[in-house]
Amino acid sequence: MNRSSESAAAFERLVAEHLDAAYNLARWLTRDATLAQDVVQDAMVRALKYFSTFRGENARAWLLQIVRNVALGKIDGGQRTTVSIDTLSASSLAVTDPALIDPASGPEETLSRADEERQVSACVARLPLELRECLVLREWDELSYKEIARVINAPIGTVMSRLWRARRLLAESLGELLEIES
Amino acid sequence: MSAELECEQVLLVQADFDGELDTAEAFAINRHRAHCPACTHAYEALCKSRDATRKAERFEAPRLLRARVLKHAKPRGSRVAFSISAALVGAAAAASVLLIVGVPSSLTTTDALIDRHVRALQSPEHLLDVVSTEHHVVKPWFDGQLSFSPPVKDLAVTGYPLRGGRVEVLNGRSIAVLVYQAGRHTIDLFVWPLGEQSKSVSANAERGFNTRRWTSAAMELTAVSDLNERELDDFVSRWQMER
Repeated sequence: MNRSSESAAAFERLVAEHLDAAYNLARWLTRDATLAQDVVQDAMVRALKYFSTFRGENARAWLLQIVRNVALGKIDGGQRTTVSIDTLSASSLAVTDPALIDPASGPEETLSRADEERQVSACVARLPLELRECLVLREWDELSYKEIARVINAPIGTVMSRLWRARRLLAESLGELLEIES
Repeated sequence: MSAELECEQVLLVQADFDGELDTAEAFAINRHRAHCPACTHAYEALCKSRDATRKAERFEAPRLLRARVLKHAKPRGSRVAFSISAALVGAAAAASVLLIVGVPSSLTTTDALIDRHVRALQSPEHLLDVVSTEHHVVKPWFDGQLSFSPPVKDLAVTGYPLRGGRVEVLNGRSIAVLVYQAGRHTIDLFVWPLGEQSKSVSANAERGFNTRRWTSAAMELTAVSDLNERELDDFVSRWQMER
């Protein structure tokens, strides 16, 4: 096979393999299904453009980095305004809307798996963008600290502290959620 | 759990939780955690958070998006190549058909050569198949690899020492690449046989790289480098002057 079609085939394989991860990240960053699709499409066009200079090491992180950069460009100013994380409280993240917490089941009933998934997802979605991206790259994509640092273009120390803040906030907001329920 | 009660070791506890520590480090932080209530608490929060995120949604790319993206993944230039190679089973057969349909000329475009140059620079082991500053070594090496004999010139005295060479396959044909050093820059000189001759040099600049293409003694030559235009012109003229 000739080199150019070989490289096209390699790109196709790479895309096919990591498209779900790309979409998942875009979806968590944009919090919008339509925008996430736009992001992925644009990111893949960009990836194709730079594919010839890609050396084959860590395709997943490479692709997610492009997705992340495209997503940040498309996310509106509102989400990008930096929230002072120190003053951010867990209650601002917790889902206090009773409709969300208790859709149909009686108070004694344990939450169904779908409800639980919805609640956790809502809490994650409310994390500030810079914390959320670290959490998604770590927990969904299982990237190492070094890889996350590359994707978000920040030092490893920053990755570690953001990750910790994200998890602490998530655990706290879920704790408050339980209190509301009981 | 509040920020005031946090232990300064918490990020290490987390690193251990994420499997980022080596055995000795992990052992040390586990010993610390056993005696530190704040870190014990933090560890619980980490477990709780992970438990939660495992329950959270994992979005899958919609099928339409997948179809659209994969359709786009085929580069425009090789669409023809794609449909042909899909129709043929043998890889060799696909390559020979490609020659007939005329895709080849586009494959030795300056753009393709710049790609090869960039790729070679990014992986040092790919830059040079033969490492030698001696043209007496490089030339016979090429003769053993190729069906043609590229002109190998030593330009060390004029400031462009030869570093060695490699063979690239483009358009199903082997192309000789002579690698020269120009200060901190690298010049790739691509050489392949050609029928007609002309002394004129065509210049091009794309993507931050300057290229010069000319023909000499039945060979087509293209120099690719991030050297500035003036210096690359100097390299080309010295190359042409050298016998």
